[in-house]
Amino acid sequence: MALLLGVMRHEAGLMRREEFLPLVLLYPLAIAIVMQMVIGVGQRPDLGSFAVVGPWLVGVWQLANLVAGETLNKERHAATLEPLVAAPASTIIVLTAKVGTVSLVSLLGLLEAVAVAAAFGRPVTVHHPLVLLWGGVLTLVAATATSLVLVALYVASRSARTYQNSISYPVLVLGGAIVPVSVLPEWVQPLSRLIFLSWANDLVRASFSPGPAGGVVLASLALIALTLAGGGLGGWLVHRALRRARVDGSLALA
Amino acid sequence: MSITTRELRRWFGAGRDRSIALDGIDLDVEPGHVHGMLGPNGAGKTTLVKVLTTLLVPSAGQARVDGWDVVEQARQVRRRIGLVLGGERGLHDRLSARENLRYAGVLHELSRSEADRRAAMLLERVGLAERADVAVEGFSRGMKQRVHLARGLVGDPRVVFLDEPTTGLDPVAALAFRDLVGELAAEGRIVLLTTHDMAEAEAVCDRVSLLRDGLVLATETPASLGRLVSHYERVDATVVDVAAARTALARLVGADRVTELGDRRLRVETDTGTTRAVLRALVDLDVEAVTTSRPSLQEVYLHHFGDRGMRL
Repeated sequence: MALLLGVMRHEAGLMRREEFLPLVLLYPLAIAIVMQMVIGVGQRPDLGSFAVVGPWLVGVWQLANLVAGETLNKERHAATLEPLVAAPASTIIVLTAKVGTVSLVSLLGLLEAVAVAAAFGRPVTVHHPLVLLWGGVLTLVAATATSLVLVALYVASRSARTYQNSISYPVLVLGGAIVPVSVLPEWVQPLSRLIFLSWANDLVRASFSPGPAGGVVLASLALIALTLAGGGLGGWLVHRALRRARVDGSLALA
Repeated sequence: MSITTRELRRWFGAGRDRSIALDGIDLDVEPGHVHGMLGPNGAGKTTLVKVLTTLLVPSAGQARVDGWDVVEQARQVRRRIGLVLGGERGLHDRLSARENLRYAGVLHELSRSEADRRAAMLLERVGLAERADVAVEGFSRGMKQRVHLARGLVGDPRVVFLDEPTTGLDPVAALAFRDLVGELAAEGRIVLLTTHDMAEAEAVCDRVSLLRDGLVLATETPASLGRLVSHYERVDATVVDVAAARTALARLVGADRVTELGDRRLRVETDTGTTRAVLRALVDLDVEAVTTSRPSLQEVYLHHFGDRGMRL
């Protein structure tokens, strides 16, 4: 735990100085404003909670994809990967703490989207705070696990930027962060369910429901399963990538 | 506690593209010793350090640090080592020196208070206490090198690897660094140092290995290495009549051991049996100045590697 907290403190300090706040704040802000305008024009007040959760999830994904996914590459480019690997702390745990910090920071986007909704005269009320808390935690853990997969993918690729740009919008659309999954073609919807964002959307939106919070158990189980699968796969892939780098001598860039 | 390698090999690539970085290195370094690895660029010094610090997996052979195998027991090795890589990069530039060291403490699994204590103590030790809270990006190369050095010591390592640690240090800081290395050895740690700096190697190393093309050419004390070039002492003399002196000296030691250095100066390679006779002959020849010496480590280095020029 001391290792996790220590690395998270370090990562937070780095993020503060490396000016990530525009990325953290601008994406959800822009999407939140657009969504509020769309539901206003379309007269769909029933999508009020979606217009809050969607922009947050856009921020969660963008941070996972553009910031957390680059963690290992960034360490390698800064020549800080070798001292990290040569230290006794588990490199996988350190990386998990680093991408987890990025996920945690994305919570700012949720606060922002709530504020934007209030500014547009459509404030959301949390009817099930425990569900919101639970959903928030599960979403951030799932984002962290997914980030580990991205870390391994991008460190193995010579053109990570291409992948980052290519997968971003398909994931956001399929994950129901930009439009609700229910309005996607039926044949696409099973694919949506492979993306943690779609379950996170269901779970967190349930906390804003005035009636009973439905689908919490199913969404929770699905998120936990995707987290375990993503975390396991990501951890294994990162371990393999590091092992390969020690074999072919690519921990440091010449 | 020691560093041992046996038939240690490391190559990169395969087939025709295969390049050999380490070609069967046998090495033994005992506690309390400072061992220097000396050689030109591409000799294999940094590769050896990276294998011993678990950053590279050896292609063949065995390496143990403090009794632990660098491949099978990498985690145990990492608990016992400190690594100092040279260069301007490798630090979190937007963080302060203190924050960099604290983070290194975290990676060495120290508690927060212990990491703080070690960081403060080491910043003092490397002379950066007054700039401890300034972002590293504003540091000179030499100051960054000191942060590297301090970071390598955060975990209180039993074995310290220094890869060209004085690159960029001014002469005063380099002298202080030599004192620090001496202190580390006196504390019973092993220090393995790679360097191009002959004076540094002579000043701080108990033993020096000469590396070339992945092979250890010799491992000796710095003084003993001089004997690899010349088993003889040598006498430098400024004479009045060069031709007469050459003839007389050649009769004593052989013509091939008498070299003209210019400005009426001659160098005579002698052995312990002939030094006295050469000195007597020189006095008879009316010399203006005479000195005796052994080859410096720099001359040993140039003797072995001087033909390489700029080649890697």
